[in-house]
Amino acid sequence: MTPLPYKEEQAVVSVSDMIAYVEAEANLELRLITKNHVLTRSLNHHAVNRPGMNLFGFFRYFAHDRIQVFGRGEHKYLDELCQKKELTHLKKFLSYPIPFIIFSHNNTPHKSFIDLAEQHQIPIAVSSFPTLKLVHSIHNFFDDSIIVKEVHHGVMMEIYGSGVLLQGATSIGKSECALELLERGHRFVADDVVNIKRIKGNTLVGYPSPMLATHMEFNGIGIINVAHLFGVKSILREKEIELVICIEKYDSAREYDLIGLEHKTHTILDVELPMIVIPAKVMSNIPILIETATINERLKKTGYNTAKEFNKRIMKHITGTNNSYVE
Amino acid sequence: MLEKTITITATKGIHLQPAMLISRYALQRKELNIRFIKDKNEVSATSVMSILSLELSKGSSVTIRLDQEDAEAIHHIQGVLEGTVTE
Repeated sequence: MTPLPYKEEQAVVSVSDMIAYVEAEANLELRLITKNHVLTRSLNHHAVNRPGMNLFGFFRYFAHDRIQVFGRGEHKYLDELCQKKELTHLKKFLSYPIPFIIFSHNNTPHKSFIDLAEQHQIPIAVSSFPTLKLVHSIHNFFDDSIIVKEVHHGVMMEIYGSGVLLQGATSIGKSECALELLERGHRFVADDVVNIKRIKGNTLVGYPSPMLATHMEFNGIGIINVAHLFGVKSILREKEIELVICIEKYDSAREYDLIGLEHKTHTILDVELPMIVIPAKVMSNIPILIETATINERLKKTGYNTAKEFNKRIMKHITGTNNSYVE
Repeated sequence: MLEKTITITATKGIHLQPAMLISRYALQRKELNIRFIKDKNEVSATSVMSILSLELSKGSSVTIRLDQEDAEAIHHIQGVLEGTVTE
């Protein structure tokens, strides 16, 4: 099987990573209001803290190393404290190495709080989001940043709506297959380098490296851009992987699945995927075999296993009974 | 050329699984050109579908034809037809 060039371990994310993410994805509106701050503190705990109790002066348990989210209640109370110049708890609060403070509902804190935070170089940002949505967005960011990823060699296509990862030795013709499949109206996800991430527990998603995107390379032709040659309708940014098809050079000494009752699997990122091995012989039309294998796999998912049903039919014929031997 | 007629004694006859075992073996021993003959129908043993088409139920008999003598091949196929070889 294809060796894995590298595996990304769980990333340690910093405040600046988070701000960069916000700028790229633009789904978490953040506006920094401090100027003198450090953005390199890491966000080890993938959770937030609502600091209501700590503003009251309770510090025996204070999750200071998380993002501190000030909702409307915390903001109102903070304002009162600042106006009454009761800054003892606030000073203690800000003496902890807090990585990041965010205010929801576009609430800007009192000037004296900002000054205190700047003394400790703690960044403060304001978001237009309501608190609940803000907390959700922060969790989404953490979910995205701790996703496990792997890089695989192969081709990723969407065939009749199913995500298929094509694997096989170099120059066996995977890319040519992809071209033929594109010509038949299927969609292209990635060629050569397929990034795979695991989301929602056990869902694998394949996507191209952002550098290569929709480009493919062919000996003798050079670089082509699938999006230009086949149109934007023929490309997909990412797709869930439902099937692995391994194309191998036909080897007469090897035993291949002749009837479809075997259940081969391939494990990527600890997720088992059904795998089909297609032997490539001279004059084989691999794309049509790939299409057929994909549809048959989909049929299986709907509960109809052709091989099993066919076997029942044979059993009925040769024994006059209706029970299947092979389960 | 070698021929041997065997009566199928496997309880459930030759369904998908045993047909696959025969076909797999025939593919591995291609040089023997293993064929099955029943009621004047001669088929290649390399194809699962061809074997199934002969409707080899328990009690029926089939003739195995090989291009050259090979005791091991006969023994193996006989084992499947008699239900003693199941894997």
